[in-house]
Amino acid sequence: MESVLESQKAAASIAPGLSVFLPTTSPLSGGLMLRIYQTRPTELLLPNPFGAGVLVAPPDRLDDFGFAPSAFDRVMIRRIIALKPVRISDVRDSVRATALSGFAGREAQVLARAVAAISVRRRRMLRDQIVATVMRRNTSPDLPDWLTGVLMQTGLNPHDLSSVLCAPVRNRAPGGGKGGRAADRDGEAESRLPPRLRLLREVIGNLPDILPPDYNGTSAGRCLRLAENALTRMEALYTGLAECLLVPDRLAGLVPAGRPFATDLGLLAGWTRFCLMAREVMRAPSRAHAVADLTALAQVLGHKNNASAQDAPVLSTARPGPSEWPREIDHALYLSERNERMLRAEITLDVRDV
Amino acid sequence: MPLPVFFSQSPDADMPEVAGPGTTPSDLLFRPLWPLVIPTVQWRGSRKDATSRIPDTLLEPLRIWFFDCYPDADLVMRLIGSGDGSALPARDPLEEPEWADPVQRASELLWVRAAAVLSRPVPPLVLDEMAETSGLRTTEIIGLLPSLAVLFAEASLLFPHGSSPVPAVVSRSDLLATLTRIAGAGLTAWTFAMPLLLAARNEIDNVLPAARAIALTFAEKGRYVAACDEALAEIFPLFEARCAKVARQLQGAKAVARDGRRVALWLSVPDFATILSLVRFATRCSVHVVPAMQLQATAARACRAQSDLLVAEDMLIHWPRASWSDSLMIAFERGNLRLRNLASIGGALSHPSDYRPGLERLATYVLEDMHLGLSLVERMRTAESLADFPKPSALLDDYLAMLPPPADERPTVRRRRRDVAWDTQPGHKV
Repeated sequence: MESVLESQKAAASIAPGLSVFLPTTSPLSGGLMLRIYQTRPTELLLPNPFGAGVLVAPPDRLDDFGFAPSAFDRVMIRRIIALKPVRISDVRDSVRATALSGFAGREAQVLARAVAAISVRRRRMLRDQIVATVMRRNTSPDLPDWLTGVLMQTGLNPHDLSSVLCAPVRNRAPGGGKGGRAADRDGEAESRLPPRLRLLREVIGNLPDILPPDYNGTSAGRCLRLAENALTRMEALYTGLAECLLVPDRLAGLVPAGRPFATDLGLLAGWTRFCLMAREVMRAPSRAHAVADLTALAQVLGHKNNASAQDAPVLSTARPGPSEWPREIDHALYLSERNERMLRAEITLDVRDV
Repeated sequence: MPLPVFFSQSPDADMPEVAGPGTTPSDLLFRPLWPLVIPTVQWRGSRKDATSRIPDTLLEPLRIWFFDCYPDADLVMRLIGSGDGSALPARDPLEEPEWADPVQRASELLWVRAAAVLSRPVPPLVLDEMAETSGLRTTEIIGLLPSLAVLFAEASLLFPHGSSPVPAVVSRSDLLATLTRIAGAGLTAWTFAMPLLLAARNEIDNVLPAARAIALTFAEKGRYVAACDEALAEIFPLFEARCAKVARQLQGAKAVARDGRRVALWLSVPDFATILSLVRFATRCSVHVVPAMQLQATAARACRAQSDLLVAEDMLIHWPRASWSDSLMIAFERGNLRLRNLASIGGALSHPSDYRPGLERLATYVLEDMHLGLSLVERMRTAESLADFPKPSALLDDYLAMLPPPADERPTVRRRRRDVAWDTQPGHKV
């Protein structure tokens, strides 16, 4: 009866899972979240398309809930859930591999191919730099590969390794002042900022202009708060990585098996898509629908299943009715086209500013 | 050139191919002006038309003048030539991320050229030649040219943009600034611009109030506001006449084997989206309801006839057997999206069930015709983009079955050992 005992043990486990964002193309929503556990089966989180809340579904049983995911989503999810344990970089690789197979269209395929070639070069260059500069005798042997993978996910250009990641630390140094040279240095650092971080800063900084003006106290207001919290965490992720590179002792203390930074890295792609989606709000045929979609995505991204949740999730997302959507535009078609556009933007984000 | 086998064996072999709208520079240049262009005889016969319409014989001399010493003429012709995506050169996807519609790009280049040429005075000799060719008086041409110049200069708002049904979103301040510039050019320019503003894919809920607000700021506000109202009243019969003409043209048309898909359509996706949006506006605001209903009925017929012809032609096209180039595949995907949008809007004009079977037939054809030069993944994606199937196709099921099974469903090592031990027990029969 070991299987029963195993299942009881699994059900009793309340260890929080690792949340990883999946950039889907289905017209269902802006994206889905995969929650990976050590002992329990993987779960898929998706915004409830009919109203408030988050649905939790088995990853390959979306049809049972009445949804018809796109072929891209089916293949991507299937590739990811075949892996155990799943690493964040595996998820990213699976998304790229599925786009490379052509499931998101030829344009995405061509872009993914071009980016893959650049990524290989960058990875090699990054690894060489890391081995040459930050490795010490007492560091873990699998650290260079792990660190290279993490830095690749943050979208760092290896040419900027020494200067960019130091920038947030330097800016905090006392006596920086706001003189001409400091401003020049800030401008230079800004131009070398990883595109993901720049996008997050730009869009989340301007989010009050994008969301409806009466956002205080509404679900849009909570969405804004979640996004600002996320920006703080992502800034901390980049700063933390920079400090690790600058302080070799700290780097030596990192154990790749313990998956440091994994929580924030799993959500980085999600908040990137959030920003790309926020940019679409102004061009959307129905602003109410676009804002509701954005809020629903924030709700999924901010969802936590542990007791230490500080920020309350977006409790009730008011979904506008279908009558508010213009009839001359096919809603599902528009959404899937928008999602594919965002996927292409996300694929090329690290090598080219969007 | 020998005719395709299919053509000669067709029972309707004597039926000629339905010639669609052209993509010559003249077509691209002046097609957005369709609500304004009327025969010169009619233009001369009516005092009202003389101030609110453009005589058709003026267009050809204008085109010749625009193309005189045009440095980008070769580029425009090349773009038009590669409209179906078959002859586009390879490009760097990262440097040029937008795989723009070449024909749309050619149109935009031509509109910019027209605006640049018309911003300068036309020499008297050229004017005389234009007058002679068009049968108009020089003074009449001089009266029309400044207003035409404004239309081409503000093409980004007044002319259709792209192939998407989504309306162009312009910020309120930009919209007001553009409308002020148009109104500042005079009443004729304003009268010309109003039907174009409504016929291009703009959000009528935004542009109409903005236009009326601008009209009220002018001294002759009565005439400016009247131009807005007349444009709204006339846009329904204008679209209806266009749809009726297309429906008549396509009535009983038989599809024949073509080399590729049609680049330009009689009525494009933005046209139908505009029609549906106008009908919705009329119903909601209870204005011009009867012409709007008549327009809906005629547009439904035209949309059905056009979609049926396009689907039937797609089934007969000699698609490449070898693998498709990037530009061709991207143009093909854009065409699939166009078909799907047409079906969606047509479904809203009449009933979705009128369109579903045609697209499903086409999707099945793409999935099953093994001679097409598409990979398995491209077939699945094409079928998915053409029709909504509630369940994944058999091809996708097979593909998924080839992937490794989900980790959570795999038996654990202990269970596998136990099963093996159980199977190898002496009394156990498999």
